[in-house]
Amino acid sequence: MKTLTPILILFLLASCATQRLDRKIDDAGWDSLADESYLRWGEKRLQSTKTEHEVTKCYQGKARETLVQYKKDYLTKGQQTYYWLHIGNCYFVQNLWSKAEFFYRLSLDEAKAPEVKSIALNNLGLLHFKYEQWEKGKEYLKQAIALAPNYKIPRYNISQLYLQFGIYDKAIEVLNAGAFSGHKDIDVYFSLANAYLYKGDLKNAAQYFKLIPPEQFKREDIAATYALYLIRTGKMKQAKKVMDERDRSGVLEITAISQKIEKILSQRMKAE
Amino acid sequence: MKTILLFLLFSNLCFIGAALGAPMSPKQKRWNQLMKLVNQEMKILENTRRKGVDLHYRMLELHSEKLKLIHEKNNNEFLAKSKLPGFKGKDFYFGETRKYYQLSREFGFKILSDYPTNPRRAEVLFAMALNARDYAKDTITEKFLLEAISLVKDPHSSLRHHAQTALADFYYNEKRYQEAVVYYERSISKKEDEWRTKHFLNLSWCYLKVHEFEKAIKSIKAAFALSKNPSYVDISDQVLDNIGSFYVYAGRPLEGMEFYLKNVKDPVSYLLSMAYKASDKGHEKETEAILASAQRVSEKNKTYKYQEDIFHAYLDYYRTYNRFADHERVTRSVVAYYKKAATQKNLKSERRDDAVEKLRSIAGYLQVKLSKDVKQDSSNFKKEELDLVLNFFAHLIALDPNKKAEYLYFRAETYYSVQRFKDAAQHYVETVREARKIKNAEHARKALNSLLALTGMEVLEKSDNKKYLIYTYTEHLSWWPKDEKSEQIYPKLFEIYHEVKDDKKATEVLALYNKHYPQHLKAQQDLMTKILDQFIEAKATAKLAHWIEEFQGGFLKFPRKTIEKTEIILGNILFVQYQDMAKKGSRLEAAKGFEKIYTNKLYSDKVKYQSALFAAQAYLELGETVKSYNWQALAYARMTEEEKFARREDHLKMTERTYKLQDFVTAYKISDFILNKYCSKKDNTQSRFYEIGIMTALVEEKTKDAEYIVERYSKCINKPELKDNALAQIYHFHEKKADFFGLRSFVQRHKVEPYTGFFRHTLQKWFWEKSDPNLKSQINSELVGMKHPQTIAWLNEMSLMKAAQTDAKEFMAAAVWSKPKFDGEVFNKSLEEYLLKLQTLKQKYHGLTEATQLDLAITSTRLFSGVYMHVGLTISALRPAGMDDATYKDFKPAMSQLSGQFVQVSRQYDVSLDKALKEKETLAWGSRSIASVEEVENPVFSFFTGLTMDKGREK
Repeated sequence: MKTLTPILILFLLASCATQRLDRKIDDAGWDSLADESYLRWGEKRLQSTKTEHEVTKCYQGKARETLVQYKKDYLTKGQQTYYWLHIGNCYFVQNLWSKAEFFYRLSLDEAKAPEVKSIALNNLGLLHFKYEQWEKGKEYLKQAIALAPNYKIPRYNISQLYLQFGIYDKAIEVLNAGAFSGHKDIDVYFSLANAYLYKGDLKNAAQYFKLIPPEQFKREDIAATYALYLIRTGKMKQAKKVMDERDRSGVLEITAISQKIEKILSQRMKAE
Repeated sequence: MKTILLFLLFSNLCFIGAALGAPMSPKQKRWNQLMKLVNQEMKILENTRRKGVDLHYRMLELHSEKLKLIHEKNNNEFLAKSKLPGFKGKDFYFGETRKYYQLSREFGFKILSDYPTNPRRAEVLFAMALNARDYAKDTITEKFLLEAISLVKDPHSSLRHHAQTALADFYYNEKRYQEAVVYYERSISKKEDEWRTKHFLNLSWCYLKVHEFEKAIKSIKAAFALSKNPSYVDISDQVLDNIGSFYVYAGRPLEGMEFYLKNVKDPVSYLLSMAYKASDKGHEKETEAILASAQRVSEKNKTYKYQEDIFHAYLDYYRTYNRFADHERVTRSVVAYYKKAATQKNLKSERRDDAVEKLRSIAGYLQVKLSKDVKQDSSNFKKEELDLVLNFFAHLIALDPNKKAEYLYFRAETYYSVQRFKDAAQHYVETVREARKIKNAEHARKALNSLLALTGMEVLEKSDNKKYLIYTYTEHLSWWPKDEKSEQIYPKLFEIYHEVKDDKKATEVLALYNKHYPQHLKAQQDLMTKILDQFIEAKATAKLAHWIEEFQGGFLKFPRKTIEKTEIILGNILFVQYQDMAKKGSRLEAAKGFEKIYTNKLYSDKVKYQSALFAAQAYLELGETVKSYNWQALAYARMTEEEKFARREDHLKMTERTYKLQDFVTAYKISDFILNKYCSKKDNTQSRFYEIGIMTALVEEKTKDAEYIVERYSKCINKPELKDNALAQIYHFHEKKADFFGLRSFVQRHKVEPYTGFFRHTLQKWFWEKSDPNLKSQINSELVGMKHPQTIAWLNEMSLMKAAQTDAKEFMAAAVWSKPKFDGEVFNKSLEEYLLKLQTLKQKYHGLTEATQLDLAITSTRLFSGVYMHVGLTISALRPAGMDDATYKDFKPAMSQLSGQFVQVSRQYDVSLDKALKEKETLAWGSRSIASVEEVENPVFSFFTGLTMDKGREK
């Protein structure tokens, strides 16, 4: 029995490590970044939407087959704008980052249009975040923004970086930029709500939490953040309800945060 | 001198040999005996003392006998020597005869002189006349015979008869036939003379000569009749031999024919002889009748022995009268006869050669005639005439097959003479064929020369002309591969074959030309080039391949460059269809096509390697990088070292394509191989392969492979900075992967700047960022082990920070007032002590807020902020035990005021920190650790929620 226990723990850890937070958005109306990335496209959208880009298959779990197809299409499609970029993305979704990086760099080298270079730079930036090379990643994103100021994703990504490092004003500033005006987006609203919350501006935080569609509060990261907001505003029961109704992501770090929040809730509710 | 001596010795030996024991012939014996007898008697008579006319006459007879014997001996010698080399003329051999004749003549004259009136004078004259007639060219014969006849008056005298007969013979021999008739008429009257038959015959000849044919026939018939009488010498044979002619001369050949038919049992030979005579004398019809008669008798008697002669007689007869068609008809029979005779022994074929000669003669004659006629007027000949000539040559071929080639040639010439050129050509060809059978170069040359002339005239149909010209050239070369004419023919024959695109034969000619005239190599190479051009135009790949192999084997000693050029052309032809296929999108089919070329045994290594490379290229275009690599390897195996090197750039391009097709493993393999192979080149290409090797290894996350490239091939590049770049890439890879052990191991292998410096900073950064305590511990040990001033400083800061945290914790755990009873002074002192501790803490650790380690500075600032906030809140919340309410009322505002100062300081720390972090957008672990709500870290810290981009905004 003694030997079984560590093995079981290892197995559980391994299982958790493979989990991903499901950030897919099936309602295109809530995806203001839809025209720049397929990453948040839900299965339904991917299947129902006609797109000329093979890369969508990589987001449907067919990365290997798609990459083989890219090889075959090299001669006919190798000169297309996003050829190298999409190969990189197919590797990216498989977490094969070295290969993804190679093709992003190839795209950067061979692309002439600044918009394409911008996309490559964005993706390279993101790759460096995967390696926790934040400064390098940030530089890529800044270059990406400089090359294509109208693109939303590099801005969104840098806002996430600012959130990561507690630079909330910058995050808010970026997300409130003109690029996002007039668009509804779950993650943009959530990011703003989060930034305001952690900045201590509960009023503005509340405003953005309100913009998030109710069903999205099941997402564990949103639920946890909203629960913290509710705790700060003394709404323990509501907070507990949010936490109770959340979908468990299985992501180790979020699970730990959720557990902390539940503990706080438990203590505070007892105290009341 | 020596030769003369030897000759003499040899002559003597021969003589001695003969004397000693050479056997004597009976004729010689008889001669010796007679001579001995004559000499003995002569000696006896000479020794006789008293000699009268009788003895002298006897001695004259003995001299005559001896003269006869000497003449006989001289004649034998003359006959023996006449056909030998060194023959010295007739007179030379009859010297002894002449000498002895003079002796006997003088002896006779002496008798005539000594006995002028003696009755025996007529006998002496007769003897001397006969000696003069028989042994000398003396004029005394007629005179002495006439004198003798006149001296002998008795008409029955034997001497007179003999003298008259001798005189008749003399006149006959002297062709004085009329005078001879007189004496023969006298001679035949002597019935006792057994030679009377001969005298009749001679008389008949004399009549014949004087054209008294009736008398002649009568005389000869008398001779024939008398010959049946045993009293006379039988001369019937002589009569039969001649009587035919007599009848012919008499113009009555048919009577002669009848004579023979009537008097001779087997008359054919006489008839034939007579037929010739008759023919000669222009008795055409009669001759034909005689011949027909001979043929009939022969057939009737079944005497086939005459058949050959009869045929010949016919041939001669028809030839005489130019009856060529009849002649040809008989010739057919003659040919059939000789054919039969070849197997039947009873049929004579003694005159076969004669027959051949006759046919050759007539055929030649007719051919010349025909030719002359046509020359005068090309339409002036009848087909029959031509057929006749041709038939004669055909018969000659049958009769004289050994000379078939010659007769075929004559037939060809005959056709040529009547301008039937195609037939002529065909017969020249047959002549050559026959000449080849019998290995007769002379006939072959004649026929080939004629063919050459004929084709040169261009009178044949164009296609025929070419056909015969080819034949002529080919045969000539076959017979005489090396002669003056052949030297000219080779290129001409080649051109003919080349013109009709018969490359097989053209090249065969070329091979022979080269074999026999290697000195004309340049010209031969030019001719071969023409063939190659033809192949290229026709895209005859198999043929090109075959000849490339031949050239490589040394044929025509083509230079290497030319062979290579040809190979390239062949390759281009072979490849173009598959290249087109690939262009049109059928790349797999194209690849299979190239594979086929590669596996075809026909093609050279050069073509094979090119096809393999094309296959590799096609597979590459299909995205099949491994297959492409395999084909590159196959191509490589077929290349020469020069080709390999020349293709290095192509390999580079394919390698670049390979990694672009996501196959980094294969691209690495190729780079490794090329780097190794051409290390010494140290050029841009090598450097590029070096970069690819490093890059592909790292993309595959195989740092060992990347380091292998650095270690082995850094000496093979022309840009030393590439090595540093490579090492930096490897370093950053380990760093990206946060691979502590990999990085440490790398830095241990490359313990130089900038890697050791990089390593210190990386470790310091990781120390703050990484949460794994084991890793932190290992990093700490590593930093300690470095003993670098910078790491020592960092470690000191860390140690101080640790102490600061401990002290801060201890400080914050401490109470300002813990006594049960409030005492203002004591409280003040206690508060003062508390605040002094804070001051001490600040003084001791405040420096950390400006530490070189950013994370540490942030953390320490945060620590002080916390401590001051704690102090502020602690003071604000103070209500010391034992303090009354009234005191507390005053105490509280004072403490609040005091605490506000500390809270203010704490906020100041936060504000300053926030400001610094925001201004610099500092992305350090320390800054992350600041943010919390309810001491719960931000859920967005858990993972980065950024997005990759797939496209630009669609307009």
